[in-house]
Amino acid sequence: MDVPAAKKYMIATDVGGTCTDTVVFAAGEPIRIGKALSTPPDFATGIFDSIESAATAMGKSRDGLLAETYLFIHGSTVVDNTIFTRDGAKVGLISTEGFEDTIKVTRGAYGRWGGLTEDRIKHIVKTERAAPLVDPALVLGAPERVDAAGEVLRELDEKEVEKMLEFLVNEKGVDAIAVSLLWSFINPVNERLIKEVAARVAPNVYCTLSSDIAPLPGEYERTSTAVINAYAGKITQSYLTDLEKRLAETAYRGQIMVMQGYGGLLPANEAADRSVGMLECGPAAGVIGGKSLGQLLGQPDIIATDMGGTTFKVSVIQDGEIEYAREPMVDRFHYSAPKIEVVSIGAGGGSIVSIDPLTGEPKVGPQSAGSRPGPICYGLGGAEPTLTDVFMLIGYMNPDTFLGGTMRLDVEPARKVFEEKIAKPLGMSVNDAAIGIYRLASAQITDLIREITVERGLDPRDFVLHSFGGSCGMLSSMFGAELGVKKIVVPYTASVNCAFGLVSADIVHQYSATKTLPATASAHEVNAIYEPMVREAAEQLKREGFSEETMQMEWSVDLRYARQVHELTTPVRASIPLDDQGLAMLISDFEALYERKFGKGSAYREAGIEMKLFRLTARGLLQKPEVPKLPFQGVDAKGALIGRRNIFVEARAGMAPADIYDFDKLQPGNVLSGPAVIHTPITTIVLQEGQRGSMDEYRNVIIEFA
Amino acid sequence: MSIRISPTLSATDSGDICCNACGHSVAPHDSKTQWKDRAMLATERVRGMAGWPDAVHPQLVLRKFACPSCGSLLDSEVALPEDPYLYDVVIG
Amino acid sequence: MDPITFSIVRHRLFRVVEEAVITLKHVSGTAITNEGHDLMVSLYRADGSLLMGGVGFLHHLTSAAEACKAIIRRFEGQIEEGDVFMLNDPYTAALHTSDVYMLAPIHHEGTLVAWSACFVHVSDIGAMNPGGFAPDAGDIYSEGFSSPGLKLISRGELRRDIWDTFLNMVRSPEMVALDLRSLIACNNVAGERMLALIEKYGADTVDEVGRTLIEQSENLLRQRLLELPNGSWQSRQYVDVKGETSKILLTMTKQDDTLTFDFTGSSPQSAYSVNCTKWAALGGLFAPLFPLLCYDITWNQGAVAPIKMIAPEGSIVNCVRPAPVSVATVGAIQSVNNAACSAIGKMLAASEKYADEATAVWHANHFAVFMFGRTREGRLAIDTLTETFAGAGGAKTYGDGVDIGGEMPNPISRMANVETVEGAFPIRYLFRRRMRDSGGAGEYRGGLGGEIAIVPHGSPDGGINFVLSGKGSKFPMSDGLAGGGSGASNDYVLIKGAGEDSRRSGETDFESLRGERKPISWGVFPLAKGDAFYLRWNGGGGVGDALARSVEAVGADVVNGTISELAAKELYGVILKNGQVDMSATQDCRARLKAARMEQGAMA
Repeated sequence: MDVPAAKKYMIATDVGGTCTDTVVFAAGEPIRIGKALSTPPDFATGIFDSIESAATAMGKSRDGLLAETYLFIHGSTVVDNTIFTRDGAKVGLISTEGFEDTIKVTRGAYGRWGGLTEDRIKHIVKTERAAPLVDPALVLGAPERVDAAGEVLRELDEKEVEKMLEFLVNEKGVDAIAVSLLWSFINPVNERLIKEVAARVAPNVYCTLSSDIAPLPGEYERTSTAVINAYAGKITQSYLTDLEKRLAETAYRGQIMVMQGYGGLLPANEAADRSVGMLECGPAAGVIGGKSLGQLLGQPDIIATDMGGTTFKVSVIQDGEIEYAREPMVDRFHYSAPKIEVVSIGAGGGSIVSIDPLTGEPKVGPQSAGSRPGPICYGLGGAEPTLTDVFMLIGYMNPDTFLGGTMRLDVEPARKVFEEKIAKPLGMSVNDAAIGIYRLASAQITDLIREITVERGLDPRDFVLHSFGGSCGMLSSMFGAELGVKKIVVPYTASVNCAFGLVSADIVHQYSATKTLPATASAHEVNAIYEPMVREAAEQLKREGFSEETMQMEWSVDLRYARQVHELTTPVRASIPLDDQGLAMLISDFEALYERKFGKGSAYREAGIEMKLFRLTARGLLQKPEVPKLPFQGVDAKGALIGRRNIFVEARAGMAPADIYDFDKLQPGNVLSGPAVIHTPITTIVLQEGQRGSMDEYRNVIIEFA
Repeated sequence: MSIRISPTLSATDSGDICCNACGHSVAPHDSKTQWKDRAMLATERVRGMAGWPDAVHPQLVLRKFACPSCGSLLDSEVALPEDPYLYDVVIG
Repeated sequence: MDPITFSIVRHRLFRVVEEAVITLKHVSGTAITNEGHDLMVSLYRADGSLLMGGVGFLHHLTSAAEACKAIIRRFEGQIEEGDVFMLNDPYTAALHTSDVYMLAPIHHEGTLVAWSACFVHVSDIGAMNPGGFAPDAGDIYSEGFSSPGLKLISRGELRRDIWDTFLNMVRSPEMVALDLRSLIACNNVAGERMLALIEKYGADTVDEVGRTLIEQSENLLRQRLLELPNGSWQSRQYVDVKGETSKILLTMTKQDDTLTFDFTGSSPQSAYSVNCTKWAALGGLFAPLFPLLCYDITWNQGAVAPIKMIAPEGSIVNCVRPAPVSVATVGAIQSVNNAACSAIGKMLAASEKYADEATAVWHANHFAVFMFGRTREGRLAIDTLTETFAGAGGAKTYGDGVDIGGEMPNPISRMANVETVEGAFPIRYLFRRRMRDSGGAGEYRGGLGGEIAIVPHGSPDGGINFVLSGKGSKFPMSDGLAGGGSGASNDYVLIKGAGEDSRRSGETDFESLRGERKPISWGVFPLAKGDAFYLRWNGGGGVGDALARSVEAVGADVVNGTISELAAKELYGVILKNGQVDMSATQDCRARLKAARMEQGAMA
């Protein structure tokens, strides 16, 4: 895509649950940041507030900025929000006759325990399935059947289809229809027939076919995906249409790109049809941001951590590759769309600290005070002690400099409540208890990170830790040290990482074909499967304005050992289309990956290897803005030193004096030693004793261990 | 004061076992038999009950124990006719 | 020890088990381990008592403790660092021969500090029927390889002679080898993580946390028991195998802070392999006990201490060698499970404070259906139908049970997608849905079970065979509570085709299945081209009087297809006209049904 001469700005806005963040890029200019509160359900207002906040920081008006902008990239929690608030369409579902209960039965207990923590799972009697997004009375069985080979055993009569649609649309008044028939991903003929008839007799009804939205095996997850897509379909369409309209009312004339949960962008008109694609797109953007930062800094192996107000999220980038979730869920619903794997626990800045009434043990989260009423020290009505209050008590936060001094924090009320509710029951002093809770939170996070790395056969000591989010900087030097990571990077854009990730992404279309081929198949057979997908992808990208040079096709294959259930997505490294050597390389890559992830001796090779799913990631490469590189100013950080105060230092097992720095005054090249605290307008970074901090040429803070 | 001994029965201070719905003393404290022996018993064959497969044992019965005063269902059990009642004794 | 360190170490001890479970599932890769979650991994103290139990198949937590103790006794003086032991003899500790325990001592600086133990249901154990359930077995000698304890790995060196001998006796030795390797890897990880924990916090600290957790669990459970009423509650389970009826009678007594499970009055052991040994019976008790009474208490030895069991020797729940036991896990152990669930449910329901925690019995009729035959690719495969893990939830005192909601002994089970099964095995489903009317009737309805029908499809041999260990069609086992009805029993029907190549693709419910119907329950059956196999499984028990169920709820049930109009009338007293509740007819009907209780009944 060419950048029109007069327009130099690229704007990326991410609508999160609490905040809407904006990042503005232009070649040769510093990155500008904007932040505003999110405004559900009319998210567009928050978007414009956020853009305005960035414009103001640049000394421009909102419309003035937009007039000079050539691209607007967007991620939003609108679909997640629709699911969580149960605010979607009235959906009708058509399943194969005899299997109408698929969506209600959720593969047995799977839907009953899915998404619950172990504590809740143990309490079996109190667990329940979430009510499905489609009313059970609106599920019909189509008299049709296709088998595993794609053979039509029972044809679908058009008259029958009309009858079903008559019932759902005219009698029951559904706004959206989901269609999910057995084996439709192998042979979609009957699903397509339903869509044709629906277009004819009910053109205003939003219709989703499972073979379009999630052409993957596993009818429960596929049906669930179709239902979610239908449920949030119209809302997504009107949200994006409304956004387009409001932008058109300004001087903005460029395109709108929308982030997807798999870490790629789609043009708005396409994203409008794939509401399920927007699930968790914020965190996905965050991971892309981490990957991009890693590329900039020459770090292919990253543990990306993001601590917000309510949750602590982790994802892993290995050899520059991101990992996709194998059993994605939103709320309590399973679905199967490509989605970047991000695991989380309820340990955010607003997480409430409590004592278990039965065992007397201290707990962090999962409930959160959010930002309203928020931590006690915010003075906005919070009455429960939170992690942020703990950070205050151990001296990490400066009550006078929070949010650039615009909000004064008061530690005394927090101290009193903490003493009564936490310290006294634990039989500890306020100080010791606060330190203890801090250590507990750090340990929980360490355990979570170990879980996500160990599960893949990875060793945290081989990784660099990226610390994103408002509160993360106060904990990462602690858990990073315990994990033994190589170093910690706290990026300049830490607090708006998701927005930063948006501008690091490409247009990405995901395609897949399900077919079982033995590893002994010829490369020719594999190429034959990819050929139609590649053709379709190339045509699609061409329509979107990309040429051969700006397109990139990436192949990856899901393989498994024939008698075992574990499937691994293995990237194709050889040149494509494949020759026999290239296919052999894929097979041996799979074996190496399998052994690393599942353990030595875990492969039953004698059963043979099968290829099960062929994935195509088709990229339209977008010009990425260059992160401005600043010249080094020397190692002396004294110019940024603003004082000293006591903070919790792990090595001293208590409070000890530390240097306090102002981030804005730090220069690239400056070096400082822990224990130390760096205050930025939005975040705080803590260094422990024996750690060495420095600012790189991009204004990222790097923490290294002695 | 009466204490709960099941969702359908309570025991008074003196040990009378009473129906929750109507207060009737199904088994006064000095009865020599259990409350089930003193309740109204209705027995029906399980095979043939709505929704049950025919493979179920032909002799299996459903015993329903009701309050002799108001007919409220106090408890039930399935059994082969030769088997005694299942007794629950709650001391409190 | 400060509460923070305690909390951190406790969580990390738990993580040791978690990581070991992940390893087990990863290395195994089998469907039964990964989908069915038919596994268990736990940590034990140096003396073999349960330190930390995970959410695998709960039956095994205590029997693996006994296995540890058995190994300690047998190998006294010869337990060294790097050893790994195998045990699968049901008369020593295992539940049945297919559930192979692998136990490894964990040494720190030369001292034995803990044990890790795990099991999976191996693909085959060399019993007279494939898959590990041997309904044809008449004694333990026909139930495959069985050992009271073997040292499989000695100081880190695999004993090839034992490995080869064991695999020599089983079908699919490659798959069984994989099962064993996954168990070994699991223990390796547990040992490594445990040692890492000890290195970081010190052996004394970790041991103190372990001891404290055990004390804490015992105190908390005893405290809870003191809050529950003293009394005794009875429950009875019937088991039918080929016309022989066995009874399991349980009298559970709570006195102050102890709970005793007395199985006196149960039938003598059966000639068929539904029996279980006393270790298995004890294990079966804890499957409902942990989630019902210890939902917020760590599952360890402390929670076992207040519990006693009396099981007469030679009875079906404490059988004597050489009685066959291969079907124990869906036989007597299940019955112990169900009886305990029922009795504990009644005890909880007798308490004002804990009534909400009471439940009617969940999916009690565990069945085992193994299919074997040649796949489309010509490979010989043994596979299990995972519908048995799909289960059905018992009702609560405040709400209905969860339809196809799972089962108690296996908290995180799930059933495979139809497409997964059809992709791996030469069969096709005609239908799979919730079974109307299967939930126990009550003010709160028991969760529905399900029904399926399968036909052979694309099998190179023309058909497949299946092994059915499906007791439970003669007798329901999901008892109701407080007047609630039992979940309807199972049914297994073989429908013989006329040999023609009928695809039956329009036969999407039971009524439409054409052909001669043969009820079956136990044994090996061929499913030839044109045949169909129908299976319906039990619902959960109901709670309370069906006549007290809200009329609106019954009306909605009929509309949703969970209760038939006939059942609505006969069991719930609700009359519908044109799909709408007829209030006055319903009032009459309910009054009549209630009065009938008084008329028919004679004072017992």
